[in-house]
Amino acid sequence: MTQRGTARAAATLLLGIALLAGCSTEQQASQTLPEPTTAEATPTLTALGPPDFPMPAEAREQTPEGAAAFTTYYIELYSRTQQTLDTQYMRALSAGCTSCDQLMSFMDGAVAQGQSLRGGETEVIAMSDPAVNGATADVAFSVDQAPLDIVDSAGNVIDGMSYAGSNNPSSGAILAWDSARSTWIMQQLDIG
Amino acid sequence: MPCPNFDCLKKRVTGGSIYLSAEDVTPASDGMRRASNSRSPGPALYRWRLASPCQIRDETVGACTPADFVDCPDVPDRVVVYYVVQRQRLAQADGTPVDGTLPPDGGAPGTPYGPWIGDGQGCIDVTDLNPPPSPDEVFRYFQELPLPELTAQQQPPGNALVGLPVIFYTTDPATQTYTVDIRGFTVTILATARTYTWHTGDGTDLTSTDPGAPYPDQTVTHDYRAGTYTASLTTTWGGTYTVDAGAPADVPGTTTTDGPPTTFTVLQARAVLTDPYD
Repeated sequence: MTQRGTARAAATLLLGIALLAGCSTEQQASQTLPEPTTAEATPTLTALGPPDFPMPAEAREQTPEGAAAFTTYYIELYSRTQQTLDTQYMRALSAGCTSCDQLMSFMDGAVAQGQSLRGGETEVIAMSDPAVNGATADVAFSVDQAPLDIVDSAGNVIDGMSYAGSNNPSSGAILAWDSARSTWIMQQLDIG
Repeated sequence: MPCPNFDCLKKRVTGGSIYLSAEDVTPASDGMRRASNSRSPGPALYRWRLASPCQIRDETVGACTPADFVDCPDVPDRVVVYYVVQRQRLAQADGTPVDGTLPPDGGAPGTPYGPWIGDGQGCIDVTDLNPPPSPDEVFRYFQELPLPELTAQQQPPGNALVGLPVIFYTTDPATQTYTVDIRGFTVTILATARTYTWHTGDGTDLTSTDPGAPYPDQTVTHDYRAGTYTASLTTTWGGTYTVDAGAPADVPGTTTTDGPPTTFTVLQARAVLTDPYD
């Protein structure tokens, strides 16, 4: 061993003694093995929809079942939005959907005029298996809407602004898959 | 446009507001698709609707762009219009799915279901549907109307003088109503003079949006040098129209008429010393 090697060995020995001395005073040896860790964390999806009515996980699958769940969720979201008049969540789930824009535009106008909507509950009655073709899906469904009144800030029904309910067995939607957010988007909503 | 509920949407898309309905859209022997209200043999799989790109964009964003207007070939005695074509599935009597999808609630045969699906766009022969006259079709009639040829009048009457501006005006009517029959539709066209171009005869053209007026309310005047001139008036006509007393729409274009010429002489006045007591 050279002189330099002897000095390095002595320094290592001293450091080892010092470390052992530090450990021996307070620390107790662990009696259990550490939990194994996985190499990748499970991805978490950003929540969509209102906090009290979030989009269910099954609606965020790029499958026929996912397209069906999304359509049902969107219609229920519209039904709730008629009461809250907060269209931001519907808007975040629509793109280029003229019918959706027309419904939201009315609700935005009602807010601006201090009006509110009474009734209009909307429900999907029946739906066939959606046809998914890559990033698009088309969905055939039947949807009912209850009668709707528009009321003023005093709660009085505004003349000429009561609307009959409707059964719409010939309704359909075209959805587009948004891979960035892992959700379907309402592209076209046909009521008939 | 705002819609309060689903019923509003339904009426807007199925009430004929912008779409032209058809029972069938098929390729024709000449390669141009043909829309009709008679079905091909066999079960009908779809119902159809057509709308112009302008109508769809107007419904979507409230305006059209020049790109929305596409010319189609003129076919004698046929109505050929550029349309976007969409189709919707129909429930089948034997319960078979159309395009892989069944009706949502097992609807009666012939019941439409599912979304409207795009089926291309192009020049479609819609003669059999006898659609209301399109704006372009109305414009073609508009160009053939016997619109008035407005006459330019000038002051002072007869000869004019150098240094004294000549006043131009017309007293002919600036509007005219016509009723024409286009494929059985009663189309009422209100033609309106939009601009007046006064040809002064010395190479100058004056343009106004009003018909001018005689002294002392004149709005159109011109100074001449001495000489003989022939003036005339070109009127640019625009218009609005209604089909079967429906909502008025603008005629998409203008046309012009040339009025009869008027010839007059502009004299150079000379100062002459005279004796008023002579």
